[in-house]
Amino acid sequence: MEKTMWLIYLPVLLPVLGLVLMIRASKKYILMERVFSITSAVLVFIINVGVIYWVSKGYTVSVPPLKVNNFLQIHFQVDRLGALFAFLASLMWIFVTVYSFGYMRGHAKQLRYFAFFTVCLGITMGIAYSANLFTLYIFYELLTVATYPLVVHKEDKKALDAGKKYLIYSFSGAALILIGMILVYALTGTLDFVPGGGTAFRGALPMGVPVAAYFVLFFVGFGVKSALVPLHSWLPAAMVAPTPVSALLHAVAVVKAGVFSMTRAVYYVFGPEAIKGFNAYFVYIVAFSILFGSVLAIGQTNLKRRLAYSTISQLGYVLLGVLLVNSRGYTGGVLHIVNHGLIKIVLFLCAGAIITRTGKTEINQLKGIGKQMPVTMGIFALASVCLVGIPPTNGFVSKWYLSLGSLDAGQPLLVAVLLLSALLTAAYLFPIVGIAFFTKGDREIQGVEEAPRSMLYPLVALAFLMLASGAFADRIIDFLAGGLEEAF
Amino acid sequence: METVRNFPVLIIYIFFIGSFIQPLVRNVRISLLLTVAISAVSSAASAAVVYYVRTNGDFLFDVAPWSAPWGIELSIGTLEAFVIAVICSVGTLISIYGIGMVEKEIPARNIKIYNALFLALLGSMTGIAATGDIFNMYVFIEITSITACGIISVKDDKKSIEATVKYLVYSSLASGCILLAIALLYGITGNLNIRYIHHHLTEVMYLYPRNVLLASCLIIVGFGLKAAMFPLHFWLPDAHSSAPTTSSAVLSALVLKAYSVGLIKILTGVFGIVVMSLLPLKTILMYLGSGAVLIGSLLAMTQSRIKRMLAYSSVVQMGYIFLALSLFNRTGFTGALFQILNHALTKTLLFLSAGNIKYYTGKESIEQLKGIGYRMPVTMAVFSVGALSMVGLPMTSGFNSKWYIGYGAIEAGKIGVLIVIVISSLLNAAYYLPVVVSAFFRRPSPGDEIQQPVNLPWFTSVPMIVMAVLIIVLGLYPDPVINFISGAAKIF
Repeated sequence: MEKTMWLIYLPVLLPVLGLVLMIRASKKYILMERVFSITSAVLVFIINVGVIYWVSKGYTVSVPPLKVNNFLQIHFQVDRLGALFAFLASLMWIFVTVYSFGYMRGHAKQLRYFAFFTVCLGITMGIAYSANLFTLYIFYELLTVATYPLVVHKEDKKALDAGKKYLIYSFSGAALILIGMILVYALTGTLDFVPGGGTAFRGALPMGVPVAAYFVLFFVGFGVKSALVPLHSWLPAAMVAPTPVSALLHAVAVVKAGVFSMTRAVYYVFGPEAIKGFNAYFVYIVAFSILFGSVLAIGQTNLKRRLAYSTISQLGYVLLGVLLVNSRGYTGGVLHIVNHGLIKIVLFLCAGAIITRTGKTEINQLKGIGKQMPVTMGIFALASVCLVGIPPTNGFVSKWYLSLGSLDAGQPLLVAVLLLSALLTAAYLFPIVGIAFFTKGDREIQGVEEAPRSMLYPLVALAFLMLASGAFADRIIDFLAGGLEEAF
Repeated sequence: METVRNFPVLIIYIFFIGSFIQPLVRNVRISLLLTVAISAVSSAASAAVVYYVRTNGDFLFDVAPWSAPWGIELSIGTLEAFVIAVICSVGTLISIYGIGMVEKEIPARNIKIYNALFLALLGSMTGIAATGDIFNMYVFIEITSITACGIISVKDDKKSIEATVKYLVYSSLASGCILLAIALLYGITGNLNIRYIHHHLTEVMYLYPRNVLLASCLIIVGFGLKAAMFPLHFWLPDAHSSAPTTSSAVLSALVLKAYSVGLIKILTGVFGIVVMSLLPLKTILMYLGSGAVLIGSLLAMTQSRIKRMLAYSSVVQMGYIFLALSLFNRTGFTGALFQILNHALTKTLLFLSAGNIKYYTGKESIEQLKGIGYRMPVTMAVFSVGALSMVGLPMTSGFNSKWYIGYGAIEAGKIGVLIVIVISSLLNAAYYLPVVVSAFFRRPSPGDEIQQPVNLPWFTSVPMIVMAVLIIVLGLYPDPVINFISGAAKIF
């Protein structure tokens, strides 16, 4: 069932309109940028609540398409997958915006920071709502452009180098998507997302069309933003950004946009039928990414870089679930988008709180910090447990479904990969907790206080959400299940 | 309504009459305003021509009381109307910008000469597009070449004179090639009117295959040299970068286009699809176009001065047009025409921005642009829009030309061309984005920090903002333009 709802233009456009007002008003009044960014975030979230309500009733919320040229149109339509992603992102945006208020105090060029931070929200909504490959591609490219100023915010050489790397990787990936998009259009005559894949990919294909080669373009193209292993090196480099940006963009918006787009490509462009022929090869690449990311994470001494490599590994879980092309794997993968998003944002915000209070970024400098910042480090420990996937946390639920999906696909070896990676996750997260709580700190650490309230409250709230997503995992699974029949 | 049929020739007359009365004007300001007024009147007339062609279709117009093949005839179709409109409207925007900038860059004694040459140049380019007679086209090409040289040398310094001489020599060489080709075609067909030559050529081409081959080679080399087709682009960076700002903009955005339209008219009008597919023109254009977009981008990357970088980028963007022509199908041809408009707007915008930076801050090299975005916010904001359009980001007009050419490549079964286009757009990013990044994200070098934002006068900022807005509008809703120009692609 379709429901036309003009309101869904608002989340995409509001942050941009807010930006214009923000720049005008901030010349006259102080802190105007903060008012506008939090207002946009809250409004976008409220609209997403409405959208997810209608979607859970079985409707598909959409607006009529806008024609760009004879081939292309910009079209927004929200289905279950898109609604979930939009809801998740806009919810976390509110908390991270509040957290930014505390974190950015005293930093230079706050107007630019909040402006682009808010614009990124609109672009992420555009990705979530897009109803065809072209609309997705527009916002995918814009996301690169709009996050660049946030990555290079410090404007020193390290930040600019990281920014350059980020642009090169992202634009190259998007170039492959463009080639793939033109080829798919030439083959099927449409770029619309159709559950179960375009009709051209379903039945007998014309002779000599290398579908696997087409898919490689999308796999590599979206793989860049999903930080798939040989293409991942921009992500740890981009950790020079302010911590809220690392948290949001590199745990939620950018990398999740990558895996979300990959899900769209697999289930809505090619369709499970077509993918099933060759998915095994891609699954092995992803399994390698999972293990390799974890192993590299152990070797990192910088806290944020360790978390970045952990992200690389965890995104592999999502891609694994997506590429298994069976219903339990899909559920596990999409569930892990939610779970990993919540867990990783909490871990990053803890790291940001430590940086604000102590200026320490290396793990071995954190001795005894657990005593000084008990709430922050307690939440960090809790999030570590969740990410390792010890029952009954949310991490366990998604990994359970991923294991079941692997068995359904006849790949018991992948279950071993998942277990091994869980061990490796424990090996790179628990020592941090150990150092923080069970070693004695030097005098410098002993003077440190708990994080300021504007940072601590969002952190606590997100920690509760993280626990809740484990407790109410069945609600999310039921919500996703409604869209499963048509996709398979 | 029927009076509109007179407009193309009237536009040419208006430009030339305007040009000739320039020396009579006493005041420099009035001379500049007169230029704007004449360009604006022509733009309005060209809009009427576009409307007329859209409703009534193509038409022929006899300039003299003798009809073709004895008299000169203007043949106005979709392609011609479109190109005339682009020349007049972009010319108007440049002349509005010129109110502020011309006096600052060109010695006072030369301003009236500059205005006279500028109007004659616009008139002769309109002539190249409108005419249906190849000898008449040759005359307009010669006027274009000489006036183009003139508007480079009005700056009156050593560098620009040197570049002018170089440009003049190569331009004359190219004119010679074109004249020779016209002679060859006249020899075997006995006609100068494009329609008549085409009619006879299909009959006699089997009798004189060598003449046809040689004529086509001379046409490609002659127009290729004038339109900076790789590898005949070597004169361009000097000429375009040492000219005054407004001249650079006209040369890159319009003069190159006028020659490429001349080439399109001869290839499709004189030779026609049948003869063209018998000649190896497709392959030649494809390889030269690919060379232009790849090697041109690499050359642009090595430039340290912003205007030279923009000049090399013109080689790349012309390469897209040739690449699109080589595809030989409707989508590709539509892409080529859209690229003419896209590049005319974008490159004008970029050259005018570079001119602003040069005048207000004295900076020319890319290295010096650190932190300039906060000193010249409007200039660098519109520059960023232009740069993103050159890279071909979606929602800018550059994306649409990339899409049409790329999709045309797939329709023609040439996936290699698509890959070349995508690689070159990445290379474009590699030299355009560092400028934007330095302007906004690099800290200014010591001694440069404390500077008030520059206030631009309205006649400088308004044309630039109009172009930036047009680039975005054409990125989001190019439909009216595409629908119109796809009428010209019906020949395929």
